[in-house]
Amino acid sequence: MRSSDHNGTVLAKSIEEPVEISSVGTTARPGPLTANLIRSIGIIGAVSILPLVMPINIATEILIFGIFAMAANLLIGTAGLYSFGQAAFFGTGGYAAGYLLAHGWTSLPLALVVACGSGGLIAAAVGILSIRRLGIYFMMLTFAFNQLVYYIVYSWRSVTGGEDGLAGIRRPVLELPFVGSFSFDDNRSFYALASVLFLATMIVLVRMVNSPFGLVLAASRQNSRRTVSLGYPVPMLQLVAFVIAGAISGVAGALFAMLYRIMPIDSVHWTGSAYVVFMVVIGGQRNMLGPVIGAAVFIWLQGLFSLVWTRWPLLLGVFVIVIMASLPNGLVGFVSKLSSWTVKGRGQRQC
Amino acid sequence: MLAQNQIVLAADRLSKRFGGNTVVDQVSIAFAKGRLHSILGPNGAGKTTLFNLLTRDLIPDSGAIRLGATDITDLTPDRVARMGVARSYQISSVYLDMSARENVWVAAYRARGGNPFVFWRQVTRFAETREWAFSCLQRLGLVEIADVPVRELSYGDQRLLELAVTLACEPRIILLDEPTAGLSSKEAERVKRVILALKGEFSIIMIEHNVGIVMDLSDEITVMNRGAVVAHGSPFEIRENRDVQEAYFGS
Ligand SMILES: Nc1ncnc2c1ncn2[C@@H]1O[C@H](COP(=O)(O)OP(=O)(O)O)[C@@H](O)[C@H]1O
Ligand SMILES: [Mg+2]
Repeated sequence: MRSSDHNGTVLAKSIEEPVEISSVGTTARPGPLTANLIRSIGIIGAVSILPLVMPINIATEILIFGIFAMAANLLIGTAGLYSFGQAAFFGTGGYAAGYLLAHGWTSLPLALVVACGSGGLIAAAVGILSIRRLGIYFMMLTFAFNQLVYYIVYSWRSVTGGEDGLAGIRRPVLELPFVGSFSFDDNRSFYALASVLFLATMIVLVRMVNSPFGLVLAASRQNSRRTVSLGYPVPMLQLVAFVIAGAISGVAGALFAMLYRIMPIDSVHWTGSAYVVFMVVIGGQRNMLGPVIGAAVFIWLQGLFSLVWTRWPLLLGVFVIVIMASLPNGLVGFVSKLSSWTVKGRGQRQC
Repeated sequence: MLAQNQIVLAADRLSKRFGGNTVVDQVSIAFAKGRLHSILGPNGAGKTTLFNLLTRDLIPDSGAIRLGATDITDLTPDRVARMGVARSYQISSVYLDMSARENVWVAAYRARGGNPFVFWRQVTRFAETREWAFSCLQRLGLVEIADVPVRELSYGDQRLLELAVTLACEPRIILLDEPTAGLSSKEAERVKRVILALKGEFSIIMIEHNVGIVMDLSDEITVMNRGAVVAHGSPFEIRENRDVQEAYFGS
């Protein structure tokens, strides 16, 4: 397992022009405000344009998996925890919220809170049992728990619909006092909902990565023992990160259930866990934009390859291997390197 | 014998086995407040393992550890660290993907009682921590390289940074594991001056192979071999000790 360049402090970048901004949390000067502004506008712009250049369901899916992949990147890029069980939390959130929505509880806040809570709760259970395992053992354990959750979903037909998936899910309704109620039956309004949650997740995670929590988590990725010897309860920090990632994955799962009004059993399959790791690896772990780009590329390629050949996962696998072998920091890392070559000195850290 | 109130850290019949190998064997040792106490001994003597036991990185098989009047035998290593025991490692253990500034920040934040479960406030906002961390870099003469990714620093600078990180912990006791290992003689001289400056201000326990440095800096020396203490005394007494002479001074 390779440690990445992600230092826990690089802020999100704009899609148009990934600029490495300096990081360090320890200078007196506040971050370059204009650069932040440009980045924010770039991301909001990209989110607004997305549904105009592709089918809106695909655009929505990209945002959903973007959320899922950013959560995974908190573990992979920042904490260095390669979880291969994230689909379990995505699935838990999707089934829990989906169950409510299929049984007449259509309140949006309720669905989101339940998705978040159930994803986080299952992640806490899995995390407590696996967080102290290192490297490959951690991977295998999270993977095994994913299988366990899959099996439970598969067998618990009365609640989950078993292998047919959970059908009859309705889109949620948001009741606002004095304003009225919004339904998300229309795909554009649902896209708006996904965008809001996507941007909120990004803001929260980018801030988190640059908070003391994020920096110490990044420190423990680079040298866990040293971080303990500085007085930090590393396993506890990792567990909390695991729960946060699980909770956010749960929200992504709930959005997925709402989007297609069905929660397919495939969504809790371990392959989903592998895919989200691929998304992070393809896009790059150095900041939260990487996983989003990774998710977009992955979903786009999945669509493309599945048109070409029924054995599309094979092509996807080859693609992932090529990226891993040639671009150690993923697509975003590659692009920012290019721009630092062209604009001399740009890649340098300024403090 | 040391008076009870002079002892900052003490091991009482501490033992550690790896498999069938007794690496630390019934070691009793007391470290005095404000003194620099060196531990000498050949490779494999169990010095680093003793450090790992004292900081609770490793769990002792038997024996007890006291920090001042407190028994810390059953504490976790992060708790021991928070009680003022800071260490540097034999193998550089700085954070390679961060800048030197961030390295010391992580240490300084916790030392100043910072809560790691702060999720929203940005690292840049902690002015006091930042200043204290920076002063530790200044003290080691690392200001110029403060913002260079540590991965790109020379090994010597990484070792100095390791000392700066240890200082940023605002410790009561500093454990240094071969602070000059792998350094050029010029760099070793720089480290020596730093340690000399720290002496008196902190209680220091130092494992070191460079006999010259040990003799010049130490108030007290303990010699270990095969997991056991074989000699203990002032630098003068150790120099005069025959067994030690044979092993170390080649006479
Ligand atoms: N984690 C470990 N597992 C097994 N053996 C170990 C471990 N750590 C150290 N040892 C063994 O213990 C002995 C003492 O090691 P160490 O304390 O590092 O010695 P020193 O620091 O004095 O050179 C060595 O023989 C080493 O191989
Ligand atoms: Mg050693």
